[in-house]
Amino acid sequence: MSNNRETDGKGTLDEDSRYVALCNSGEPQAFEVLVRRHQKKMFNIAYRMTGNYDDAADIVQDSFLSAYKALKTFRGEAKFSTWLYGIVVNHARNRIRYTSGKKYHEPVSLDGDPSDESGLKSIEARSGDAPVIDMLVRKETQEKVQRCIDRLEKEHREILVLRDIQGFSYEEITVMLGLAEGTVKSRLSRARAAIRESFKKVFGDL
Amino acid sequence: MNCSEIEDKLSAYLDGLLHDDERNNVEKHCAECIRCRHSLEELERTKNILGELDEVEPPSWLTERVMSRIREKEEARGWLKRLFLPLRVKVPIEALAMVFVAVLSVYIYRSTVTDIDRFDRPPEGPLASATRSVPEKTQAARVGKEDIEKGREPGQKEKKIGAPAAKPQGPALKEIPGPPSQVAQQDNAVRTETPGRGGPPFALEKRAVPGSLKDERVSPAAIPPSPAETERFKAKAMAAREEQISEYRAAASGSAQGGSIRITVKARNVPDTLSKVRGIMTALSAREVRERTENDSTVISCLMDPKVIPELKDRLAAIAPGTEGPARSIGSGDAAPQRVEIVVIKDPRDP
Repeated sequence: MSNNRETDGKGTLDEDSRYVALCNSGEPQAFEVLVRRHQKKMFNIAYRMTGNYDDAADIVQDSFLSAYKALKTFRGEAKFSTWLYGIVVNHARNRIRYTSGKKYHEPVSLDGDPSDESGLKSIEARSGDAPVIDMLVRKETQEKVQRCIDRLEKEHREILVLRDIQGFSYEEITVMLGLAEGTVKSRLSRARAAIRESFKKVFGDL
Repeated sequence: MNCSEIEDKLSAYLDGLLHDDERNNVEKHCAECIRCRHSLEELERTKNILGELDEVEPPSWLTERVMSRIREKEEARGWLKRLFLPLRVKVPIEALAMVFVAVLSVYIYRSTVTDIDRFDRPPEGPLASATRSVPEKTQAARVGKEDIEKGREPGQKEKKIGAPAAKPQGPALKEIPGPPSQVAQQDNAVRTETPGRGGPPFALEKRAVPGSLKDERVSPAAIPPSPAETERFKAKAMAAREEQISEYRAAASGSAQGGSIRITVKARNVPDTLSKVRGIMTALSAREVRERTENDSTVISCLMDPKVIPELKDRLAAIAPGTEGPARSIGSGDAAPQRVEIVVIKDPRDP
């Protein structure tokens, strides 16, 4: 589970509101704080949804720009971060739809250069002194997991990314996706069942 | 609960969303059912695999790129703001725009009104031309008349001749007779020029004038000197002149109104004649009947089937012997309704 949940804390939430207010009062520099604070999570949402590093970067830029334009419409009914992540999910969804006609994900050879476009170069090493072999195995596993995610239906993909990878609560997910909680539960159940079957095909018995 | 129902609840069970009794049911079932227990374990493992995915670092340039795009946007917006937002610029621009719109509206309104006036006004131009041409045509007649009506001052005559430019039906015109030959030529010249639909009245004038002038210049010597003949010529000239004027007016009206027929009815009893004319128009299914007063005459205009216009003229001639109209109906061959104007004037010969 990712460990950057601190942005959802109450203190950060209050600070988000403060910077939003500053932006709305004509200080665009304040937006940089919000970008720095949320870009990583947004990037990971976009990356896991699309499976493409460059696309994820584009999606995050576009999402921040959209958020900046719509900042005055943010009424604070939900957390700013939830609102922002909803925007990035929407942009990622649009990008997937746009590229759905193409062969979106190129197969990645495990024997290839690990610093290729698969995003492996950016994966943080869990431990700086881990044996190289463990790192390679881990990279391989993560790549396979991502390929399993990529094969899922769009709805299943986004709900798994938000709940099981990013760890958002059901309440937050209902806000981001604009769905009822019951729908989120049932969709998540089907998505988990689908990816379990996919994992079983890739990894054998779990 | 059977296995299928348990399977549906495993995801919620993993997230701790089930109520106590549901959770107990799932746990109890999984303790007894190897298949469901295995399924739960797989699901838990699946969830863990996803949760163990490492975070991906965004590109280092991402923040700067985002902020640079935002700054570009702000600069573009700032330029527009500087141009329009300060009141010292915005208010004068708005005020100028308002003034411009107001001036433009007045200008358009005036130009439109002028056009409307031009079409609504009585056909002054052609009539004026007609009356201007009349003195030219009657130069010789005037010479003759001077011989006949001695004792009048030349200045008076000039005045009377010039005056009818605006009022062609005035008495001065009626007092300008011509010798028989001239009258006949005038009559012919005008009659041959029946006003066409929308035809230019000036063409009529140009063609009518030269011939008559030529003959008029040689005619004074032939003026009969006897008073009886003079009176006869005078009456003929008056009739010819009135007919000429009504022809001109019809021509002018035709050009302005898209080709109307003007019929002049000389009535001894104007109100009675008007009443009869209205009756005739109703009988002939006239449409858009309108009445207006022009100087000392009443004009009834209407739209009428061209086929019934000869009948109209006959009927009008029956109620007023002095009825005058164009020799032929304008556009009588057309199926489209024809604008007809009936001018009812007091018969000048009526005592």
